[in-house]
Amino acid sequence: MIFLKTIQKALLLSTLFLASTYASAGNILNLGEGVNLIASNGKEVNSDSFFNSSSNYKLPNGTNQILVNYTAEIKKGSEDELEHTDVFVLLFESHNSNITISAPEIKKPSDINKFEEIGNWNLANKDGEKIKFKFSIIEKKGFQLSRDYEREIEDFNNTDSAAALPKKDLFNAAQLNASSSKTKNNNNSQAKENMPAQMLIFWYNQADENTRKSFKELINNQ
Amino acid sequence: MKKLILASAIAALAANSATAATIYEDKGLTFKMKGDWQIQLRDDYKKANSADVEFDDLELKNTVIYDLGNDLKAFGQLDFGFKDAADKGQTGSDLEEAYIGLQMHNVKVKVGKMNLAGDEFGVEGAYETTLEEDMFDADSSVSGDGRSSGDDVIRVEADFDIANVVFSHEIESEGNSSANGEATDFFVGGDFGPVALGAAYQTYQATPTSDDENTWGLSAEFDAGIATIGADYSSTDDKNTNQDTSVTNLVATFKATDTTKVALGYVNLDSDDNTKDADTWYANVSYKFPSQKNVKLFAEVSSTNYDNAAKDATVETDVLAGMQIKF
Repeated sequence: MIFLKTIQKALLLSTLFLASTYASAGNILNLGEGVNLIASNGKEVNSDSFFNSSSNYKLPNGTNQILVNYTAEIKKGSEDELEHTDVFVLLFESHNSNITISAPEIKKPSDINKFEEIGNWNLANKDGEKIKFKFSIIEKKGFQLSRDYEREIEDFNNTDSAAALPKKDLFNAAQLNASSSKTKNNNNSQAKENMPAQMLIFWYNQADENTRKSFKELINNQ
Repeated sequence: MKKLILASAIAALAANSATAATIYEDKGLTFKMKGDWQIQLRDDYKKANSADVEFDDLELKNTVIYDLGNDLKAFGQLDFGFKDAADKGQTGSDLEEAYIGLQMHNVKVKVGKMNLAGDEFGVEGAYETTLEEDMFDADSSVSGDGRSSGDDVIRVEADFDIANVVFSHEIESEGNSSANGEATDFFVGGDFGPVALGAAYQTYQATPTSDDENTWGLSAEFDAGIATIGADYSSTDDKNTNQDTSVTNLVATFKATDTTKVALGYVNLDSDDNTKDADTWYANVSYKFPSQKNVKLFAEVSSTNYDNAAKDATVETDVLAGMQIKF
């Protein structure tokens, strides 16, 4: 009897472990032929081995932003030349998916121009279902050698582009306290990244009702 | 010091190899640099020759493009090849291509030193060929010069959705140092799903007093998924020698893995001059490094049989292995 109970506990623990593992499994991104993954969620991607296939990458669940481009071999006379597309930013949502990213077949330079205009990448899960994404091309003017993609994507995410990461709200209404509890519970943890936002929340919470009202009128009239 | 600077420049290019081709891009000006470096160890088909390090394509290609607005672009190209300098100890380089041109929408017009339209033809897939790749690659029976490129060329290219058309004319340029015959070439290629078709024609006159050498060719390739099968046939009607010569190519390319391709091919040369009849079979394997697909290792074995017994006695199996870097 004790033995059976032990087995049941072991099975229950194993099931819970597997369930929790699956829940935090994340996504796998598989690169199609010719697709180059340059950066993922703000960090440049480097291969750790020259024999590494470098075609499978882990991505977290939720919103993901990747930088990719495509390299095509284009026949020119009796030779093949390499042509590279511009660098694309792709923004998409995914949860526990095995995603494959591929580009349409490119055989000539005009195909590259069309691809850069339309951005018809193909993102699909293992069942073949297409994953919606937003895209933009990230350009750098001037010399193109040794581009700092982490800096470029940081600047890009400060724009209004559809493929930019959604901007985090600096203020959360839940942080604002009623005027009767003005000295305690100044929970500024959410605004820690931005000191001015943090201080505004702090002093708003310190102010009495009349001061708050005046402040709101000042902002609304700007 | 110069070697250190060059090594650093190459390292900087290689660090972001995905975008290594574009060096500068701003205010409508784009400067691209491409390279194709291939070095191999080869024991070639001639019994008299021993193994040798060969330099095949040590090319640096420079492209400048100006966006003039209204879908009009001006461009220039300078391609340098250093394989002869490396192999034969020549100083300097061979200027392989040098031209300028204009592009409006899908039509380009180029003027200068470049390949002729017939050079677009062919499916042959060997790294090194004993026989001609196709008859557009053959030499003139009058001048002994190749008929696939010229120094005084006007070339028009039109790129449509399912087809591309190339027309070129090398002007006679008689009496000038760049004179190497007069040639008019035409090529049309089309993609229809898994099938690619090609057709080409050339009329060539080596000197103002020689007769024409007229060449035509047809090609087809089929992408069957696991393999690509290709075939082409080209023939030259040489009115100087009153002889016809034709080349037939068959090639099958298999993708063994994501990084490895295998090609098997057969080339047949059939001439009214029976002493030239020959055929070649070849097999090669190519491996692209997964982390840097611009770097390729390859090996090839080929064997040529001449109908002429005396010539056949001088040849043996051709073996080579090498590496290619493209950027």
